[in-house]
Amino acid sequence: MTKQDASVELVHVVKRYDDVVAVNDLSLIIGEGEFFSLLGPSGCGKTTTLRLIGGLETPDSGDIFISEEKVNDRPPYERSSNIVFQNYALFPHMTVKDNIAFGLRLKSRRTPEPEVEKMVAEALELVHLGDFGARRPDQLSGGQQQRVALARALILRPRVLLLDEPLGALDRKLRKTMQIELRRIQQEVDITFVYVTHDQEEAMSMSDRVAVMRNGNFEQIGSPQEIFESPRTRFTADFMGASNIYSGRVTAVVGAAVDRAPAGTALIDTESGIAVISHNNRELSSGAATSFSIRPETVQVFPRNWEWQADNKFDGKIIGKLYLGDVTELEVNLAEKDSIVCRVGSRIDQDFGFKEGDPVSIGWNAEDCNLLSD
Amino acid sequence: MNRTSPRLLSLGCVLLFVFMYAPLLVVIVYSFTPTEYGVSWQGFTLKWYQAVLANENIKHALKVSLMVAIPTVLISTAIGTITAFTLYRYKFFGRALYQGILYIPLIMPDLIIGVSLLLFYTFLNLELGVFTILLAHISFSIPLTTLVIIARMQRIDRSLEDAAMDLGADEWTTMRKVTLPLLKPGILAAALLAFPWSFNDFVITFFVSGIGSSTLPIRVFSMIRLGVSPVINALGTLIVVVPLILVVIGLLLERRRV
Repeated sequence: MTKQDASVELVHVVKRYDDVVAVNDLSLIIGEGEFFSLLGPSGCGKTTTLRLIGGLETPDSGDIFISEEKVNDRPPYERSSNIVFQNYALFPHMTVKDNIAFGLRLKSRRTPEPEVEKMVAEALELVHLGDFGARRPDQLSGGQQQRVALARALILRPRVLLLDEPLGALDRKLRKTMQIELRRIQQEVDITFVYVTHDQEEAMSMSDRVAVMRNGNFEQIGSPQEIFESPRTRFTADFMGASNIYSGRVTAVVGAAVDRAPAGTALIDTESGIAVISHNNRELSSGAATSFSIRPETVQVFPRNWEWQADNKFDGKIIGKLYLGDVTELEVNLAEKDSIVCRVGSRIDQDFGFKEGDPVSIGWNAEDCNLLSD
Repeated sequence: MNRTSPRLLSLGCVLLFVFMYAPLLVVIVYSFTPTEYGVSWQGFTLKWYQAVLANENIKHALKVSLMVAIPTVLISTAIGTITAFTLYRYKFFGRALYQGILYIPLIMPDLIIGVSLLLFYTFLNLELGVFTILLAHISFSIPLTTLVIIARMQRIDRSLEDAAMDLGADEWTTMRKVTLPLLKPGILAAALLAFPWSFNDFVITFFVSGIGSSTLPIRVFSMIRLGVSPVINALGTLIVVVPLILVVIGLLLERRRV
């Protein structure tokens, strides 16, 4: 990304609370018009990062730029960013309309009242709350309050909209609807969104890019697909819901000594004693300790005597079965010591008639092994 | 256990009401009866109320009381608001100590406060009178107003002020448009509690009032020394009923949620 289209830039930003380092030397460039998510468990520093950009916290060291302008010492009311708060933070003593018009009516903006009326009506329309202007926040449902908070922030046309787990308090169905809605609005207004969440599905479904955070650091930054399919660390793999993570040691690299392995691969012996062929994009050398993850949907399952090919093929028994609607998860033991979770289409599961205790053969290809660092 | 305790509880309630309000009721009933020293009901009259309104001493004392109570309410509520805001919002050295000290005047005997204020004002060479009464009342009302307002402030969601600043309001505008409106019921409650706090005070006022500037309670006390007249019953009724209404309004406002 070139510097010209940077919307938000963090340069070695550090924030401490007393002895606790909340944000540890973060550097990041978020592009103009990007939907960027900060994803991580609670306490990872994602909300602090958001508040630093918004100006509600000041960094202990490092610089923050919004549209290439250094804003370190700018108070929140002089920044071209707006926040949608986790609890919405609607003013309880004002109507919905007055809440939305709050920023416009301030002296610093001096918007003439007819203009305010028009803009508020447009904003209410944008979030599908046309008739709710006269109500008070406590007369609205959680989803409606959320929309008001969004309208109140968007009406000021910020360069960056900062959203702090805005869907956290909504029920599952409404959350799905609002995810689509948020994405629509973001494309409509064409504003950079920085979105904080601990829900990996939410981050994946909406974002252009995701930064996985842990202990005030970025664990990995990439497109949802990259992070989902090729997590670089054990933490990211675990957080993105990969259930098959194994540790082991590299016994050989490249095709040289191993006839069944193609070039660019490594042979790994896991702690549970399984020899696995993995592609080697980490330039691992023989003898190195490593770990890898395998996504459940890349593991194939067939009855024991089925004719088929895979780089890694093992015999096992089904020890658990979980029906999840369109897919079914099968847990299969590996070499009596370990187990692997496979996700197959429920139709395939029904065709084969898999039951607990059935002998099966499972397998995956070398490129589906995703090497991890700790 | 669960059969007898409600009965004990209701008995307790009945006793409480009897001992609290029966004497008040007696005063109110006697204020409407024409006999001067009798204990029996002899018909209805308002003449004692007329006597109250005609009594120049009482009127003067009422004037002094209001001259003290009204500025006390205004000043102690204003200072209480600022103190509460500072204590709640800012971290500074000795904050916890200061907050603890606020409670002391509320539990310290009035007698001690009265004596110490008297000594202090004498030491400062202040002439005892309306001004010293006012000073004393403001002093002992500030802890009350501060604590009431802090209680309200703790219910205000901090992120509302964050939101206001984020939307472009500077500190002062945020205070004016968000914090103060949300604090208003607390400020009103503090004012309505401070009024009777000042208006009813006897002990402290007794020490700092000097000669010739009695408030209503002091005046009543000196009238009682000459014998209990039904005029006092009428006056007592008025003194009880008016502040009571104010306190009830104050508590209702304080309880109303954000």
